[in-house]
Amino acid sequence: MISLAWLIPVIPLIAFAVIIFNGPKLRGKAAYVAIAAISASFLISVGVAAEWFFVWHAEEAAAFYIDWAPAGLDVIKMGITIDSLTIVMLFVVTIVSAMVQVYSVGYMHGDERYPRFFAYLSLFTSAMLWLVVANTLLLMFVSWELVGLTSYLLIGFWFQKPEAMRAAKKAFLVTRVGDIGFFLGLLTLYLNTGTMELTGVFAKAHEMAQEPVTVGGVGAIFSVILGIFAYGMAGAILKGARRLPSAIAAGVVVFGLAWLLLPHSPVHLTLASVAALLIFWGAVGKSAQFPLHVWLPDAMQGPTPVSALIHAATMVAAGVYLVARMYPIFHADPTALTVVAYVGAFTAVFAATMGIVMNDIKQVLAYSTISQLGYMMMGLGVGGYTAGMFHLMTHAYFKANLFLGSGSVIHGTGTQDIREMGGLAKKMPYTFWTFVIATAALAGLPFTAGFFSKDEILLTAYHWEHGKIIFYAGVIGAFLTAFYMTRLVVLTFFGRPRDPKVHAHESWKVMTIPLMVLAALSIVSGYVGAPWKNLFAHYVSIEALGIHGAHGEHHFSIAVAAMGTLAALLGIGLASIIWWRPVLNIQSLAPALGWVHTLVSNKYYMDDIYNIIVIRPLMFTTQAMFAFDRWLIDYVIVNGAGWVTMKLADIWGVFDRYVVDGLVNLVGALTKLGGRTLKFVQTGVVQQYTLILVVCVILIGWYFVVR
Amino acid sequence: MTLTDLIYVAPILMLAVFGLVVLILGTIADRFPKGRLNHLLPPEYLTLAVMVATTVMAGAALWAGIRFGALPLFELKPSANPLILVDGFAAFFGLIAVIGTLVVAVMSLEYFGDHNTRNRAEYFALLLFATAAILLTAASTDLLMIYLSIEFLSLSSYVLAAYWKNDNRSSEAGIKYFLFGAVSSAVMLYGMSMLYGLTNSTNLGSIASAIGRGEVLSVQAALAAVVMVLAGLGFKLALVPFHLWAPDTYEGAPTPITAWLSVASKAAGLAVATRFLLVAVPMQTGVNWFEIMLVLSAASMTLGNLVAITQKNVKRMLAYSSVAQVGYMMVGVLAAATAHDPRAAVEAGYLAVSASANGAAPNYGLAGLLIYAVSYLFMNLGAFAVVIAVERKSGSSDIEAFSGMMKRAPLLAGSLVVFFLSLAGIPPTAGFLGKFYVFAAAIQTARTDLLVLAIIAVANSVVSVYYYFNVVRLMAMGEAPTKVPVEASKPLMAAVVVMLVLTIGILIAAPPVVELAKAAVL
Repeated sequence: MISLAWLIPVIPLIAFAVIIFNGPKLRGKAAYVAIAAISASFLISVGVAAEWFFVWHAEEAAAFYIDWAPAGLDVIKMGITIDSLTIVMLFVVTIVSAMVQVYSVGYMHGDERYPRFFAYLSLFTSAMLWLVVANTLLLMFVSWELVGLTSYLLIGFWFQKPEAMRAAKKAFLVTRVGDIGFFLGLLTLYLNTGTMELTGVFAKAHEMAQEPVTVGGVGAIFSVILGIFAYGMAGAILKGARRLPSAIAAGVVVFGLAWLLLPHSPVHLTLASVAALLIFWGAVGKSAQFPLHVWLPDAMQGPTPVSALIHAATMVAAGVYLVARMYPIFHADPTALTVVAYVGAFTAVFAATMGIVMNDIKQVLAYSTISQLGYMMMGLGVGGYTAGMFHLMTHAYFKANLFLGSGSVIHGTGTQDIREMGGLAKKMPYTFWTFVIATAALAGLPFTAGFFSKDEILLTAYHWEHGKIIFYAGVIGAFLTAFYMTRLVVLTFFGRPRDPKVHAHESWKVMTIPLMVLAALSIVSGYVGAPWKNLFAHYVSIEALGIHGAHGEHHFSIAVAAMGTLAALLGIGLASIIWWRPVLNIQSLAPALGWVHTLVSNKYYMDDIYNIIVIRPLMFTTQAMFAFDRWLIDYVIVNGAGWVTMKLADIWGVFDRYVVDGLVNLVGALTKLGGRTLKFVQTGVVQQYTLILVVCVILIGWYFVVR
Repeated sequence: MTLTDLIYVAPILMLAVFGLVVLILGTIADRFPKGRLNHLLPPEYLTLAVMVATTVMAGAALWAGIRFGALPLFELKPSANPLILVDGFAAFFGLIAVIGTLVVAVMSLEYFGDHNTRNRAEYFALLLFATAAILLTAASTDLLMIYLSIEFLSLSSYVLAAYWKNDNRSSEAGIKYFLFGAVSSAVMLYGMSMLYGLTNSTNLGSIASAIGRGEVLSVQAALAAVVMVLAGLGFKLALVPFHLWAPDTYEGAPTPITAWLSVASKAAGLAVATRFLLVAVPMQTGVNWFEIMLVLSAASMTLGNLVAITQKNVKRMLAYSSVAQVGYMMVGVLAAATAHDPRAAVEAGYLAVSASANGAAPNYGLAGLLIYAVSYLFMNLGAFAVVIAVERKSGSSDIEAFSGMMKRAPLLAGSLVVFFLSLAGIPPTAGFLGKFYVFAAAIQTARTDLLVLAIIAVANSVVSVYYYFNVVRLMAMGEAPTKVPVEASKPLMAAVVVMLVLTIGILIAAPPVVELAKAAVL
């Protein structure tokens, strides 16, 4: 079965080809093709996992390569690997994808581009599965780009909506900024190890960690960052002078980040950490980490199943997966991991605060996703390889559940604004209960999947050797998460309907059954990593990567678990007394906290900052280039040259008429002569042909033989 | 002869036997025009079935040639040198010829669509015989056998070219082809007799060892003989200055036959010329034909491309283009000659065409030649298939007839663009791959003269874009005389699409093709 692993990503690809070319013929049947394909992939994944565990005894990674392209002395290989990490991801991707596709049968019913939707979903699934099984950098990069493309296509699926179109473009461009990082990292690794295969790259990780990057190299990074900064400032001064303060703030943030990247003395960077940081840059883009998180909330313009599959469970987790996959490089030099931890922790808290003030049900979930991805990054950063991946898995199930639940709500009420909802618990019982279970998991209440995984991250953070700040950030994140999720549940499902125009109804079975499956997984999936028998940590462990002597497993700590749970309960309680049983009137705090609210609900002005320091200068530059082109090149140079040429031409015309024309006529006469000669050769008279043949043989013989 | 040996010769036997079957059945069917035989076994479909089977067998022969090595046949006493040697090289060209003939047979279906011909069977039988002759030619290792198989091939081709006996142009094509061929073959035979006189042998390997050991009266006399033999081989290749028959014959012959002459028949010439030059008179013998071929190669591409520019008829244009293409292919032969196995000069039984230079690094010359031949097969047949489609509908093969074709037949015209791109050697097409390996081989040798030749070849590639894209320009921008769409029949369309897929596919799936070509001349 394991030798058939390559079929797992290929089958959805075939489904894509079948649907995209036969869309009009298939119509409603397109979904069945897609679902059949993903089911087949799931079954093969089960078979592959079974064989790996029971026949291979889960000992070493099964790897297959093909020679793809000879490049100079080297052969670039493509290949797939089956190991514990891959198997976890295979299950996550195939299960969530299957559930989302079943759900979409109901959600997308009647859409005019119904087949195309399933074609794109299949293409995405295929690309994601390629990314998961890939074991060479190049194949990873190719599939990485492919998931980006399908994300673009699906966000802009309703391209008749201008916002959707803009969101798709934004998502594509912002993640592309990250992709540059990944590509640079890939090149760094390839140039220094001479191979694209991950095993080969990892074998040299320690060597690379010993090799300090010269001051010149760091200087180059510095000057790039400063260049961007200066460019942004110049643009701001020239074009948007009244927003200068925010530009300065942005500059300080960029500069501060640079300072963080190069702690104390820049010379401490090694080749390994530079490569790891570049790859992390790519992960930041894809996993919507600060400061490249701005595309994800906008991406909610896509159909909700897409948000569930791509922008909650799988693609955005690809960044986390990438860091986990490249962990040997990160682990070789702790600098990069420290950066990962800080960026993750900051994102976790930062995004959670924005989740509190949003009024769009999907926006709240989007910020929650960013925050949780930050959590995963934080887990990886503090050395919790197992913890980060574990949270990725459990999060995939409950966040997919939440998104699909929100889709069910949107489907039932026709609105996305939670202020217009309320009292849906009775009208949509299945949606309500599954949503509550997933919320409990997200908040990390005991005995849900989220509890186990979040606890493991907190536990690892608690034992981190560089201080407790990350741990406290995690606790604050847990509190905020519980707080905004309770607010969301209360405003959506509790109380009375606030908008009389909304007539909610429960969704079809085809939509509620996936919800129930995912709700069950939101509980059950945690028990593979339960502290008393942690199977997950046994298989997905840092030792399995061949890294020994690292800090091993930390034992379950009641204190840490209690702090996490208490923070969550506190959040739930506080949110309840504000919105459910209004003991505390939030409005009364307005004078004191109004400015905070304004700041947060404007998303910390991040979009404006980008607008000022990146987009406007860019537009200004293009306009300047255009003006330069228009006036200097077109008018002065081209037209001027034209004028000069015409004047000169007048003078030369005389010369031309008498001297050059004479020469031209001579050439013409010569060509005619040549033509006549040629005509003589190809006369059509076969006797002459044979004569030429014989003459040529004699001439060749005379010239080459006799001479 | 064991069963394994049968794999090598099966395609030849198949073609010869079924050529007879088609001929006999056709004669009977012609006698009883209303008989059931005509419906049960029309010659064209029987031929198609035979060609499909032969393609499989030729593939098997190539596999055997690579897997088990060369098979000698007809070993003459007392020297025990074989007349025929089926090695990977011969099998590879055999496969090219067989595939080419298969496609030509498919194209002929459309071509004969409403021509009411009673003696179609002769046409198809001759096609099968001629293909058998190509396979023999590619494997011949003895002057006698070379001469016989070339004559076999030529005589079949003359009749095929003159197939429309009531059409003046077709008759003219046949008779010119015949007369020119007869003279060149006489010159070649004279050269062969001189070689025999000098070396006392007709076997290629023995000739090489006789000259190599200095047992001949005069090396210069041998060179003179080689020049004469080249006249006959050059005639098959349509190499300048032995190309004069090509434009007239290509224009007048039935178009599928033109396609066949430009691909399958040329494959025979390529194979035998390469074997003759590399085995009978390798560079180590001191017979210095290298400069002659250098000049002929450069002349071929330059003259072919320059004259192609002025042509008004697509078939004539493609004739000159094929003259130029042979020039490019000769670059591969020349590169291979510089790295050829030194054993060839002294070991009498050494007959296989092989790139492995006994320890020295082999260059890409021979593999490049094979890759070029494969890509040329697909792109040229594709171009001719489109020409046939247009010719059938508009009744003319003038370039003017293609005006506005992009609107009337977008798929056909688009495919023709790809085939022309490929012929000009622009990626992502097969032609690029072929040119790449051939030119790379020339550069690999690091010889100044080959470097100059490579530069001339690249410059010529640029020139060729001019006349290929003249047609493209006309198709895209020209006014269409009518708006009636041009449609090809299903088999012809299938041929176009398959050639299109292969023309692009070869570059995408290059490694297996390159590996196969390398293995065939290992």
